[in-house]
Amino acid sequence: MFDYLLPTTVAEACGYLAAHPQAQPLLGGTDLLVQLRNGKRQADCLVDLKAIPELAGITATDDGGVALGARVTLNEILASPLVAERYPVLTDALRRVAAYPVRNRATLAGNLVNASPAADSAPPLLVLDAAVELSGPAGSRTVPLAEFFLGPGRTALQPGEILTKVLIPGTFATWPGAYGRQARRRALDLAIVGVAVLGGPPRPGGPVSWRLAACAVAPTPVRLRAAEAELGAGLPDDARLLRAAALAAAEVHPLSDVRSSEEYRRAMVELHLRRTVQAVRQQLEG
Amino acid sequence: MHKTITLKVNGSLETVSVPADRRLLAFLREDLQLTGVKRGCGEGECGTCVVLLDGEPVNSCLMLAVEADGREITTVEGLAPSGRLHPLQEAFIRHHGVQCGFCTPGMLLSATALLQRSPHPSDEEILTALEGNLCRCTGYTQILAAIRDVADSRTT
Amino acid sequence: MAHRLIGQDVARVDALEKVTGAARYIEDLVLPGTLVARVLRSPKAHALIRRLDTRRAREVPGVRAVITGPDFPFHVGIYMVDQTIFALERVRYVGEPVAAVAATTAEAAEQALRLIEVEYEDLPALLDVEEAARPDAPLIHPGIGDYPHAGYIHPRANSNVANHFKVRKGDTAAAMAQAVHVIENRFRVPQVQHVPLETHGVIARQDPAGRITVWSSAQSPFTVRSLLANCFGTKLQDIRVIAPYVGGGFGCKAGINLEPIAVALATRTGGRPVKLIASREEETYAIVVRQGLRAHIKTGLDQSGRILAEEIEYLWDCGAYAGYGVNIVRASGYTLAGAYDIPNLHGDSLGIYTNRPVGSAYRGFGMQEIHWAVEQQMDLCARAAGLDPLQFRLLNGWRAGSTTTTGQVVTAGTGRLDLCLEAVAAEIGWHDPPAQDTRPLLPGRRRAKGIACAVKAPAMPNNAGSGATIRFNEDGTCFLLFSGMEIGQGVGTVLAQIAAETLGIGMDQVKVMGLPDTDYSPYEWQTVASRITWSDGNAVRAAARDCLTQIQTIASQVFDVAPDEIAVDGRLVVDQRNRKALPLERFVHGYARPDGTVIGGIVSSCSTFVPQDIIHLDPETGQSPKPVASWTLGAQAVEVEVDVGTGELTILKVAAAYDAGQVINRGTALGQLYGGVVQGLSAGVLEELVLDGTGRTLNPSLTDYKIATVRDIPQQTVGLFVETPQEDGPFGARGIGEHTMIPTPAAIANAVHEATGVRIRSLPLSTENVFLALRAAGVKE
Repeated sequence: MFDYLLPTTVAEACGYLAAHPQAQPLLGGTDLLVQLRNGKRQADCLVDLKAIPELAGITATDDGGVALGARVTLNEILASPLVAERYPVLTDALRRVAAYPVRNRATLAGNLVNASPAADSAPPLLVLDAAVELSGPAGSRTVPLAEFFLGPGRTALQPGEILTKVLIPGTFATWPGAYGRQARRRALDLAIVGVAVLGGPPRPGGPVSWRLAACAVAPTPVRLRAAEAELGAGLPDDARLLRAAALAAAEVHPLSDVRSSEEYRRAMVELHLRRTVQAVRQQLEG
Repeated sequence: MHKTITLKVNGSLETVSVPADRRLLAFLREDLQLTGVKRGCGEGECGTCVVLLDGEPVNSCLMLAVEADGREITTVEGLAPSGRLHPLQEAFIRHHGVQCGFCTPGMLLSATALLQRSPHPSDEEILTALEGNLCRCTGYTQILAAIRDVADSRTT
Repeated sequence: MAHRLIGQDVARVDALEKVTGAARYIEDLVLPGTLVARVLRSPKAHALIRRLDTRRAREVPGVRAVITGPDFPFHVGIYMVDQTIFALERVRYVGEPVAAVAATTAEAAEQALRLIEVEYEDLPALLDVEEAARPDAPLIHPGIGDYPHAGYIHPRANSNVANHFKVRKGDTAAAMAQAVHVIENRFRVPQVQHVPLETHGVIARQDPAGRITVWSSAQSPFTVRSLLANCFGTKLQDIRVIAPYVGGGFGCKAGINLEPIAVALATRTGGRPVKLIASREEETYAIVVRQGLRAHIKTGLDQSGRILAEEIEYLWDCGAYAGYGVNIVRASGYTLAGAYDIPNLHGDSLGIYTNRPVGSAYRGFGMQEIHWAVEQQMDLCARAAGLDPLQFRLLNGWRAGSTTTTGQVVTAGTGRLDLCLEAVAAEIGWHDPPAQDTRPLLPGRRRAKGIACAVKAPAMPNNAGSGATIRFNEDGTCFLLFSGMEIGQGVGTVLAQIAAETLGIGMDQVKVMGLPDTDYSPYEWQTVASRITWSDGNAVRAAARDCLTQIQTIASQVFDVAPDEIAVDGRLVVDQRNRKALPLERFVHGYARPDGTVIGGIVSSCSTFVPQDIIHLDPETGQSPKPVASWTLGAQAVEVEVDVGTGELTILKVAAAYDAGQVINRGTALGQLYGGVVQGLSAGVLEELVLDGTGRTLNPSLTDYKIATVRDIPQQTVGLFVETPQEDGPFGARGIGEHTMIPTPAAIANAVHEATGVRIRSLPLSTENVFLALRAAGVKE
């Protein structure tokens, strides 16, 4: 049993959340309502953020990046030409989340706040250096996504604070990128491993740098720093790529669970990193 | 902790008081007796409870009834309001896209929304539209044939 | 003779209700005053109940009944009476019912469940079938020696062996000694779940006279009635079972499951109905699952590749109770070696109690599981003999004159395995290299083809019967009544076709009155075993013939010709000699002569079909010249792409052929075939019920128990039918419903082996399992 509130401003929402310690913010509800059903989370009140106008919309930012309001659903992002043009790595990941009807409700912000180690949206946003805007009783602050995840289900959100925007800087706009993913089934399944690869900038013959991140291989989504270092600058040859992939498999800390063994997760990090870098390399080679 | 909501369901305006924690699925089935909406899993993993929310498919088990305030809901009962079958309903019959029938309402609604947004869908678009609707009986083949038939026979 | 309706693609009679949402399933039924029921289930795999206290639960406002084992110490069991409605003294699996509550709201019922106090004393849990089969294993059912059971079930006292079926044919030891090649292998199948999209549900109500009415998502309403009567000690006439549409059964809704709990509650609620609907989690592990199997096969071949002898042991994981499982043990015994002609056989099929979820019937009744073993073994034998797998099967497979496992002689009318094999081989291009034209091969991918056969007979009591009623209305239309359950297969449509074809009338003149009510509908044993088209079809054909004869008898007097010169043609009765016709409606409720006198009465028939010629199996040798009603044979060939990098399989094509005898409805037959192939491939590549070390299911919901989505199906499936008439089938038809899912996993495994050289002996062929097997074998991209 819980109550339902529908604030129309961020301040009102934060006020409710601060006043009700057992309240939960509600966006798409696709994780939250399942957790409430299964007793994995309790709430005496759901504070629905979807009537707050300033949380809507996908907008181009002055620095050539994109700001995504917390209300924006995954299918809205997938339908956005702006996001597709600037951040193909993100659309490549989001189109594999859950299934079409779920993506009509699920939000990017919700996916991040849920802080599942297997969140598909996190690796692409990590390689894009995204940040999240958090608003609370004490005002607004911007936190790099890399500092937002603290552990499974745990984030930097303070009591009374909500995630209002996802901010992707213009730094890596239009960089080729792709998302490699392994699941048990071809649709409507959680990632066993997800690997985001970003390579660029896309200038023929110019210098190239690589940015890599993975999910479902550690308590939080992580950058793959050792593999990035091995790839170095430029287009790696296959030998270097194999070394980088092996380093990625070594630097992650996956668990064995009902979805996959640790051994398979490590192997899939290696495999998908290699294949995804190859795919991006091919794009860079034009 | 009841809330009064106003929504349009299958074309009819309804103003009702619902408990805040009532799922849209339970509201449609139990309060409005729209039992064409099926409960299969309760956690968005099977698609039997899919309904259209302002024309787009959503899992009604993953939504609260209060979240539908001011919105328009279509269930399978709303596909043939005048008794004249929707072309997809006719095609499901013609192609044997129906066996036990439990996935059928959700399948039809997902397919209806697909043809609304993309009258001539690619195979990939059809798979995307149906990937959240499980079927244990048909093996999907005759369902796909039914949708393809309607899409291909459209003149616009 | 050409048929008007038989073999045609006739639209389903139930489709309109289903596409409009009008079709009602159990959860859709609402009776005034209904109470909500919830079940308290054991969290322990094996324990003694030391204390059970329901006092606090009874005090929850809204609670109307709280019941436990001692309140209803009644026994259930279809083949072996080894179970009680609620655990008594001992729980034997996680999920076993311990108590139940009926309340005015779900919240009150759930609150009451939380207040029931149970203290358990742990016992060692036997979660591995081989461990449970050891002679010194702790007993899961200390009373096993005293349980009443069917005569053809053979439990072993003081053991966990719930059934032991023996096959002793020829002299296997001597023949094995003569063999040039001896091939020996072990195979495994895990427990899996049926995953009907509709979970089990039941509503029960007791009237003031004590009579019970049950609405149930049941495949077998008459068997629900008889098992409930046995359980509660009532007469059959005191129980009424009504079955609405069933949202997928696949075997799990055969027999009784939730019904006794709801009935027990309904006897304590002062006449208020009690509704009990399973959650998806309860559905997954707490009701029934498919049994696990360990198979051990040793085959001896001669120089030419003919099978001389085979030794087989099947170790079935029955779970905590015998359920249908012990009869699967028997069915897999008399189908021991699959569709192969083997003169010397030594087989033991053993059903073992474990502390796992209860095994039960699942589409195929053990056949997919044993074919997983047999059909891979045949490929391994072919290789040893230097023969192509297709050639090996054509050499050793059943043909006229072969003998089956039980010594039955195969005749031309049994069905044609060879034609099925040749059909799928032609369709898949068996002798051609894997197709590269449709999609070029990416790095790390390999393609190959595999093939497997299927055989199955209905597993049922020898006298399993079907009834059918046809009643003509005054306007020349008729009602067709039967109790084969519409569980998705299209039973009403094919039975209407059989009735209309036989009577000479149109489909629009036959109104199907399926969805049985045991008070008013004709008897039907169970909707299982792919037997309804055949068995109900025979009953319907008999009723239709009877009605036709009545019409002909009346009309022969009207037209003054012989009865056999009268035909029905839609809405007309035709005198074929004189080419005269009169409206059918004038003949079906007494023909009124001009003088006012009447010929005949209301045309109607209540007919039955009961097989007459099935002979019991010998308990020591498993031999019988006719142990089953019929066999259905088939084959599947698949083309598979293996991603060596990930272990992921892509099924490029499936060609499936079955000897259906006579296809009644091409659309529904193909629907069974496509659906069976995908359900087969889902078990083949995705499914496994995973338990932890305490017997708790780790994937109890669809989040982690995965079945095939639309993206997982074969890129192409071609269904083919061979039609060798079944002598005692309606228009020559025999069942195919289950057979379509039997060979798929084995065919895929054979293709994976062909592609990679790696033989995977344990299901499922999940991406991870394939990857790890390839890695262990050193296969790389």
